[in-house]
Amino acid sequence: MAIDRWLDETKRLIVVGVVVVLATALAAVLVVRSQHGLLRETFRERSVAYAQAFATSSVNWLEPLDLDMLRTAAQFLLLGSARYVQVAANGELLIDAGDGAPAARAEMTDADPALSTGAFRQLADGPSVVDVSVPLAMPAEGAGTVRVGIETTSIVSRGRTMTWTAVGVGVAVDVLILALLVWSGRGRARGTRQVGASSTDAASLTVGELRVDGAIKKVMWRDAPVALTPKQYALVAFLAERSERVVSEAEIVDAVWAESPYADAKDVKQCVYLVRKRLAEVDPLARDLIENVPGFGYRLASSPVDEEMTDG
Amino acid sequence: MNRALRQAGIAFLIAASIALAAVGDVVERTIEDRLAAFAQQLRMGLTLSTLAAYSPTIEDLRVHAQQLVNLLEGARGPHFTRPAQSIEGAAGLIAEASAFGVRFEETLPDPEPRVRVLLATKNIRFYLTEALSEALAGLEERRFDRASMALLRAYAYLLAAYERPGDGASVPGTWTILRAHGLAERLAVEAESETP
Repeated sequence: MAIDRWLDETKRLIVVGVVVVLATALAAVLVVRSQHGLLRETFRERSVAYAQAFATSSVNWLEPLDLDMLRTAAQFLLLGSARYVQVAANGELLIDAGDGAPAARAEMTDADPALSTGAFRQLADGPSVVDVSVPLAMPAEGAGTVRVGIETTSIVSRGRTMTWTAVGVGVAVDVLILALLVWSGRGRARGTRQVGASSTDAASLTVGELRVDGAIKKVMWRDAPVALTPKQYALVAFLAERSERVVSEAEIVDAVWAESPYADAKDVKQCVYLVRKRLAEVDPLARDLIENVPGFGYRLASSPVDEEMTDG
Repeated sequence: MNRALRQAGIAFLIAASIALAAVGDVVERTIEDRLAAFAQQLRMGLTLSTLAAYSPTIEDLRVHAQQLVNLLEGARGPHFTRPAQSIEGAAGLIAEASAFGVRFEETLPDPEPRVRVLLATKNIRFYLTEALSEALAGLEERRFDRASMALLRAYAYLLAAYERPGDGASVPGTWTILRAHGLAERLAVEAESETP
């Protein structure tokens, strides 16, 4: 029965665990996807604003034309994430700096509408860029355009960090939930076993000349009462209920100390020792009713066993 | 590696070009030339602050903010950083504005332009110092949006220091000084073309 319960509990844990892992994985994928999209969109918008800021500022150097300062201003961009900068005005290509830029054209006087909101493009020699083309804010009559390619390395690395963070958080949540499930399952199992152990509370059990009276919570040896504490009584009752078989220390801990997570084999040994002492006070022979089966546990014998087989 | 080399090369080119434009013959140049160079560098400061404020990443923002700090403080400034150098050898806009103040105290005899020019010089120093504070705040800020705001404020101070001549209620700034030195006509076309 206990094994069946244990199997049921394990199956339930596995099913719940799989559901939890799948749910957190799905949530992580959705979060990462939406955050990646947001990151890309924000980067694209800022890249367009950056190119526009440059196009607006370029007016300072266009009229009168100060090509050196315009070139210097363009080079400022290349110190950051910009891979290339092109400036064309009034049919003249003024600046073509950086590398990886598309073929520059002197007649590039109108901004490419397709690139006015930025477009992600893979450069032949490596990184991808946001390619932006915005109209040049010409001071007087005339037309011009600024084209800038801004490397996306930073959002790629940020996206990777975000992914690993999501994976880490997901795994942590999984572990936490599964630990809670196992812990609560163990508690339930203990509770079940405790209920099982107390099923004979109201009944009377007799093992040889030892009688356990569940109604008055007394243990009698040859009709003489044995003075036991509630824990000691619970141990004797538990063993009496299973007098046909050897009971492991772990089973005793689970049943007799169900409410105490820190109880262990030492408590069992101590309790067995004290029960034997109490039994011996009634009848020295009764001391050996609880048989120690080395390596397996304890068994309540129907009659005292050979002392040499017990551990005292 | 190639990118690092390229950036180092660019930094050198920028340093060389601006240094050529702004320094070298400070002592020899006339006050008009120095004022014209000052106005030119101030416009470069405006460019840097807008680029920083609208940078696509916080790393770009810091690069441009550092360039702005270098431009304002000069090579001897406590916050000057060589890797982002842009004006190596230049005195820095704040120091240059202070030098103008001393010079105008000594050389401007006429009470009317003297008062306005000295007031403009004082205003410029204040605005540039505030712009420097904002640029430094932007450099130290860890949050991207706050850093952008700091650089926008720096832009506003630089714009005030530049003084847009078309504005009806402008506070004396660079343009007032340029006009007092007969440079307004020379730079009139540029002034009219200013687009904030």
